[in-house]
Order: sequence, then structure tokens, then C-alpha cells
Amino acid sequence: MATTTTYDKVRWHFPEGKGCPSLEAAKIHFRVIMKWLKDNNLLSEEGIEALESGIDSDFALTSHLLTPTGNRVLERCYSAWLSTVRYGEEPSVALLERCLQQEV
Amino acid sequence: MEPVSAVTAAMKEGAAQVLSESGEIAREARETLLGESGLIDQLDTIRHQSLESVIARNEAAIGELSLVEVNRLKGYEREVAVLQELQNAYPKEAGYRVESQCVLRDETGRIVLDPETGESRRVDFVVSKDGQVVKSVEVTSETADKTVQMAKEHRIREAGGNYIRDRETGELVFFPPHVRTEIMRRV
Repeated sequence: MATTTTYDKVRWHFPEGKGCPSLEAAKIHFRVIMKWLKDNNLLSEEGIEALESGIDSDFALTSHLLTPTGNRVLERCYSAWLSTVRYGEEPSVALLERCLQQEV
Repeated sequence: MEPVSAVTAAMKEGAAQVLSESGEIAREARETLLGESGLIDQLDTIRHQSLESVIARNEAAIGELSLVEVNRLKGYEREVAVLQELQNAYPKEAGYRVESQCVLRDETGRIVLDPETGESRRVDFVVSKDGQVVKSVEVTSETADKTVQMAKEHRIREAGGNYIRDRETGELVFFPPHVRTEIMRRV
């Protein structure tokens, strides 16, 4: 089995989570981070394919979607970044930028 | 005990990003949940007592985390528990492979989108053997309604989404029509 790290999933927030008002609210931070990962060339081929097919209710942010550098960044910083996320608001990527700078 | 050690490794792997660089919020809670001693405690409790004991203990620890993080941790816990069950029931030594987060594809490898919603379908866990899917599992909470999602999967499979990709070999794996995704509910 190829080892998979699942960093986060839309469904964990909606409908399975508590306090998330809608599917749209659950998707916001995934859209933000996937765009940031793409802009910084941190998506693998599978990641680009997943982004092109859309951030939908089944979307999962996994290690297979990322380059090795992308995985290192999220392993170190995803939880910290998630602590800045509030449902319904577009989060800043400043913390992710700082993490990436430490990698390069 | 192999399955438990496999789960420990999986939990540690997933926990790495939770533990790192997040000292400003509930470091103690994370340590209780996901630190090495915390993980060992949880596995001991699962073995000698019950999963419910672990859940009760974790409920107390996660009280200090943000709602967004709590939802993620609970989703993660559900999947780790089911992964352990699948690895026990379908051991690698017997020729089974357990893949996670598998997108349904057509016979050419393209992602098949639901003709109604335009969405893809990503199955939580797929067990395969000899190049064919033998079990498909969707993990969810005790209360989440899966009717819409299962209807989407049915439409995608009707539209030809009857393959997944084996990430190790890159080959497509057939998902026979008689294998239906089972919903496994966890707290």
C-alpha cells in the first residue's frame, strides 16, 4: 500500500463536523491552500489533476497531491495554519509563506 | 503486534503536522492526543478497555482546540480506526492492498464526473486483490447523511467510473459492479 497522509478533508468539516454552516464554508480553506500550493509549484501531477477536477464535497488534501517540498511544508505547518482558519472566512497564507521560505 | 504498530505509525505520521509549529494553541491537548506517550496510551486503552474510553479521554483533551481543528482530528481518528480494521481483515501477506482516497476513473484513466453535479467521487478506502476491487468503504460520523453522496457514486459508476488507479504500479484496477461501497459509521 502506498502510504497516504490525509491532511484534511472537506467532509470532516461538513457534514461530519460541528459548527461548520455549509459545504461552501467548508471548502474555502481548501480552495485557498490548493491555489497557494499550485502558485508555488508544490502540487504533484495528481494534485494538478485534482485541482482541475474541482474542490468538491469529496475533496481530500493528501500527500499524493503534493511534491516532496509541499509535503514537508504541510507536515510542519498545516496544523498551525489551520488554527488560523475560521469557517466562512478566507484565511491568510502568510504563515504558509513563512514555512515555505524556511524550506528553500 | 503488527496491525497496532502499523496504526501507531499512521497516527504518528498524521500527527506530525499537528504537533509541529503550533505551540500557540493547546500544545498540551495535542500531546495528550497525538504525542508519543498519548498515542501509546490510546492504543493500550483500545486493547485493554474500549474505543469508547479513548473517545471520552480525547473529548476532554480536545476541548481547548479550535472547532476547525477538532473537526479535522475527529475525522482523522475515524479513518485511522477503520484503516486498522481493514488491515486486520485484509492482510498484505494474503495479497490484499488497501488504498485510500481513490478517485473513480474510466477505463482510460480519466476522472469521471457526476453528470448531475459535475463532481468527482473519492472513496475513502478500497481493498483490492489480484487486480480487482473486493471491498469499498466510506467512513463517516454516526449522524452524517450519505444519501446524496451514494447517489452521486451510483451515477458516476453508471457513467463508466469503474476503475481506480493503483498508486504503486500506476495501473488501473477494476471495480466490479457487484462491489458496492459500504458505509462505516464511527463516533
